[in-house]
Amino acid sequence: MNIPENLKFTKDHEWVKVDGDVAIVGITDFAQNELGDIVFVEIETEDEDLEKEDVFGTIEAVKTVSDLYMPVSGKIIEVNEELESKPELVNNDPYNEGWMIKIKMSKPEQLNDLLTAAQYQELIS
Amino acid sequence: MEHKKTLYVISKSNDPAYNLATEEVLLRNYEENIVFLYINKPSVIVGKHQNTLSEINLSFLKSHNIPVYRRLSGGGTVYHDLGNINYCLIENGEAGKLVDFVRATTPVVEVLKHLGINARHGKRNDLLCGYKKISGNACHVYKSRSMHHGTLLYNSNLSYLTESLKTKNIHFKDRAVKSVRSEVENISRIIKSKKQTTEFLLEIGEYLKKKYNAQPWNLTTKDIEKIDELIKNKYETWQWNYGYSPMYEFKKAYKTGNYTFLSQLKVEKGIIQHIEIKSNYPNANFIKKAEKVIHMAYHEKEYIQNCLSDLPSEIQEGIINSLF
Repeated sequence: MNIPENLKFTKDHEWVKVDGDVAIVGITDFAQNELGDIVFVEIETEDEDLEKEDVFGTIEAVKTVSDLYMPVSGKIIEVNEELESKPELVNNDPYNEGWMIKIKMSKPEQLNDLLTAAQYQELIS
Repeated sequence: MEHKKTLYVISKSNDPAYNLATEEVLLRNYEENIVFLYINKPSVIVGKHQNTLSEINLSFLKSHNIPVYRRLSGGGTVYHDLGNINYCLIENGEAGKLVDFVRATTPVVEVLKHLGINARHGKRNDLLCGYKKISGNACHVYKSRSMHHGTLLYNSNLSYLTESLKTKNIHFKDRAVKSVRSEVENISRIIKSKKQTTEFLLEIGEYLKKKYNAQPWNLTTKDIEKIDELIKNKYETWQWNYGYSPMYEFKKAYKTGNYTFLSQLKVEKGIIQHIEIKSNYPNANFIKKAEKVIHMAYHEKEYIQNCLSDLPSEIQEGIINSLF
């Protein structure tokens, strides 16, 4: 199971990559593997200001629809449009091409609440 | 679900909107595990991310007064009627370990075996008897709660089922989730049972109730209020049942008398964002006028019929049939 050291994680199996005041978000390798073939990614919250733990989209895999949650508060400044036509990118490359949203963080201190790679490893083992 | 308090709820209604809204309330507003059973009147239920118009036989459903609803869970389109039993199992679990169709539906397989049906798990999360499908399943995860629900074909009208889901999806181009057709069979035929569907539902219910040690539960006044609100603002709205479909392109030609009509649409959130009609109709102004009134209209038959009511009847007929 691939868990990059340079990322932060949530207990909802999302990863966060910090780039200045922007957080790039996707789901983990573990999550995509658990879900199976992803057939639809729905994110229609671009430009919205959302709080930590709000739902920012949904994802469908093998007849299961799951919500996607904000790991930190902020404004969604970009959505990965590629996923609309290629949802399988989340399966094939969850940490790069399968990224989902970019958040301009309003409360960057919330990053401290996220899990480290080691803590996330412990959660899923 | 073992070792946790479980509630047992049987619906008092055959209204699909009511039962879908009840599932949502039980999933989001309760903390207990729940077994919920219901039967719907004839209806078609599409998956959360499906393109409704491309999954249904619109003219058959209209002429037989069969309504269409969208559900919260994923997967494909199903037909419900009074011969079909719906089971809904809501359980708490660890996030990321919530989705396990085999585990969730094993009690249903057990009860079917107990009732004489040699049921087994299929590859598409459905339940089979022999090689025929008797049950389709789908799931929705909300926070740390999952809702598995499924159909059980007991004594459904299989010709209506087949006809309702006969589609003209060649006209549509989209990324929506597609249904996979399966060969189906009724349980009552397999076990040669003359029991009513409601009686069979109670037998299944009693078994599951014992298995989960579930307590009978009646919805509260507050639940009913929430359910009514969801029916009004969601499950009985065209915007949710049709308009929520992912963006699609539509292309269809229709010939009436000497005239041909070829319509091409781009539809987003149920609204026709782009329309082009090609026709050999002599008065091109009428075609231009039709395009103008259809642009930004809902992709809904009666709505567009109204928009076109000022135009000559042969144009109305030609265009309507090239749009649906």
